[in-house]
Amino acid sequence: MRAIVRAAEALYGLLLMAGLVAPLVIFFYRVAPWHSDVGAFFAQKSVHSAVLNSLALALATALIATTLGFAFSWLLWRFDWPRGPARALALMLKIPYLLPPFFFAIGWIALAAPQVGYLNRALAFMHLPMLPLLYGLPGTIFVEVLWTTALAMIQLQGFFQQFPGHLEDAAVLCGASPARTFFSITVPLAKPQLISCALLTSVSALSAFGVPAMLASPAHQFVLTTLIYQGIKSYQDFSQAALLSLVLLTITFLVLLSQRFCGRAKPFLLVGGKAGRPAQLQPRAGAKFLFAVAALVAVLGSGLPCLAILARSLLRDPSDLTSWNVEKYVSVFTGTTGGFLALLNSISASGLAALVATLFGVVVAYGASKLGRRPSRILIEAWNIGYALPGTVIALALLVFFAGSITDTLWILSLAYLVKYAAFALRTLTPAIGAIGKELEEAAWMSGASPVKTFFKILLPLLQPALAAAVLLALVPMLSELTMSVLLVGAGTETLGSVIFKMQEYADPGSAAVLAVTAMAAILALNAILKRVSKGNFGI
Amino acid sequence: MNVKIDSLYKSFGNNHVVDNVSFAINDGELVTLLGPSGCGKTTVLRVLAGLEQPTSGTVRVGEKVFNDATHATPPHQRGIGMVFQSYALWPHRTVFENVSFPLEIRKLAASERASKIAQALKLVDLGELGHRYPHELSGGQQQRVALARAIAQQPTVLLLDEPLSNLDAKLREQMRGDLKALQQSLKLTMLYVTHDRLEALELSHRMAIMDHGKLVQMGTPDEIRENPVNDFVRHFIS
Ligand SMILES: Nc1ncnc2c1ncn2[C@@H]1O[C@H](COP(=O)(O)OP(=O)(O)O)[C@@H](O)[C@H]1O
Ligand SMILES: [Mg+2]
Repeated sequence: MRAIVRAAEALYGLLLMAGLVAPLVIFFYRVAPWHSDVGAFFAQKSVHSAVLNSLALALATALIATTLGFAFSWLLWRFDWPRGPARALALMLKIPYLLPPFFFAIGWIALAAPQVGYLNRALAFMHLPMLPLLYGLPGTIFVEVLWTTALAMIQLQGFFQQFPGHLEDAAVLCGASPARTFFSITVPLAKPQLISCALLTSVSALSAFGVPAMLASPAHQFVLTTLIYQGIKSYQDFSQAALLSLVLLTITFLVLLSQRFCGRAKPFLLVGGKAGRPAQLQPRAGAKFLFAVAALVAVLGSGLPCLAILARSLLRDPSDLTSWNVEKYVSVFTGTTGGFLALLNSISASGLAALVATLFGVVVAYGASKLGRRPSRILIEAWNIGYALPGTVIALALLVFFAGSITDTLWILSLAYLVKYAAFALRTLTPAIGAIGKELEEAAWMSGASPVKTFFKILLPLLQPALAAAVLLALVPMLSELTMSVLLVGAGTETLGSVIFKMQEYADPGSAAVLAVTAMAAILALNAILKRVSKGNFGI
Repeated sequence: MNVKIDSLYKSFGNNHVVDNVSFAINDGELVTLLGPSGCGKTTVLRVLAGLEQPTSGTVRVGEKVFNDATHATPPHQRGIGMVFQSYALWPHRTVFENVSFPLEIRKLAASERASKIAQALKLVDLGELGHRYPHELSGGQQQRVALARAIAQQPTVLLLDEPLSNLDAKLREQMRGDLKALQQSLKLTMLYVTHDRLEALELSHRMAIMDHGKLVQMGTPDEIRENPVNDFVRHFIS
């Protein structure tokens, strides 16, 4: 078994070298114009404002999303709500996490675009003033927050699942109100989780590309990722991109470093809430108000935008609400727009990456948790770092490193997805393997089975639900990945994400909506299957 | 088959858990390893099973040397059966499939396997429950499945680590009787770890008493009751 683990470590390590380490090194070594005037570069106003915008986006998103996510989790988990509404609300608040953030930008453009957005038209119809301008940094933060709140809730879910409810109960018995209890007991207890959640969400917002590209770029406001993209697309300017990437990477590393200082975040797991609950608080006016706020966020975050995309996909004429028609669903997949090819490309590139991540992941997780091997542990850590790195930088590095070889093929997409999202498979597999008692393996050895046979005949069958979950949870973000795909696709290798983005930006928002609805349906179906097959242990 | 353990030492870091233990088990004999919790009984058992490597010492079963200065036979090649304290039943396999596993590994034909499984399940009184999953069984029944699985492979030696400790008092008494009968009818060579002196006194042909990693006395229950070597043994036995 050791030999198998070692081989997997070697292959996995090689993939990591080829997919991340070497490309990054070469990228910065080759294209950063160390000789040119770096000072002048950083003196540019566009660079300044991109750094500031990125920081503002990251900071505001992290603060608001962490606050909302924490308040909502506490509200849902600790109060005695009727089961149905509470579960529906939790689901609505967490569902956005499964979908790419830029879908919500598309949805909100359909809702709130000046003059033509459905909401603005409804307001005009009622002779009310229009919504504030969606395009620009505030609108970007607004949409990014709606998505990131879901990420925060998933990150904080573990804390509330093992929440020492009796500590709160004790405070309530002492006569404290729920609000008082929340601020003097719950928040201090949750401080480490809150900090790590804020850092994680800020790293995620720092590397955000889709939402700022759709909502801020049109207003000529750029963050680092979108400025990099613009430079590459307009002038193939890799040296500027390298310097900007360096800035982005530095900020990301500083945030990750402070995470080390503040105590490490426990990797989050997508597990259903099955643990026993502590005694629950009775909601009064304040809690009911907060519940209404949460419901509003859920509706704005996942309800309305998804409905808007659905409506957009079904209307021949977007301004005529009676022009229902499904012909787009046929033409997008059969016509020359390349929708079908994109779907196929996305499925094969992400499918391969998810399978490889899971196959190596299960062996390396075994090496780390059952054999206590250091190389396995280091690899797992390394993939976690891969996840934290901005997709824009990963994609650029791959582009430069593999220039002229596998660029313009699906391989490079698959490799990029693997680097970024293998961590999702590992996060599911590592705890699942750890949870299998040592004695179950030992009993197989004592029955005469070699460690290799035991791995295949006992461990793998026991891990079946976790393996399925690992594949699917890695697959979900890859299927409609945008940030890296827009940089890496070539002729014939367009993916769902890149095609939707381009249709939305340039030509055909209606077809974009059709593809987005297709992707949403596929992702939600995968989630539902996973949830059902694993009896609620995995999935949202 | 007879078992011989010679000058066994085992340390975990600075913790000397087994300290120069030597004893032998005769073919068809039931020896209990008795001592307070933490004295190193499980470790001796696990070394014999091959699940733990001794710091030094030799382990022999029949003609075969399993552990000496130069090599260690891995557990799956020792032909030793083991009943774990937690039973360690595989939750994704039915009772039948749990007992079947060691026979599948030995590549027995399906028909032969079926008859051996039926035989083993009958021995432990579980004839009817083959199709159930472990979580559908009571603690006592799970224990019997673990026993059936261990004897199905016709082990050279059967190791049991506090097999009755998770059962209630009444069931424990009954199982004690059943185990003894089973041992006698199959002429099994058994090493039985327990901290319960009643269990040891009733079951053993001979008992080995451990304290702080050392083997302090070995003999038949009568010998030990009549001639305890020191105060520790006297107190522990009475
Ligand atoms: N894998 C291990 N690593 C470190 N210490 C261990 C390990 N296994 C057992 N020990 C220690 O060895 C001592 C004896 O353990 P054990 O053999 O389980 O005792 P017993 O079965 O008699 O209760 C204990 O102090 C225990 O903490
Ligand atoms: Mg023990």
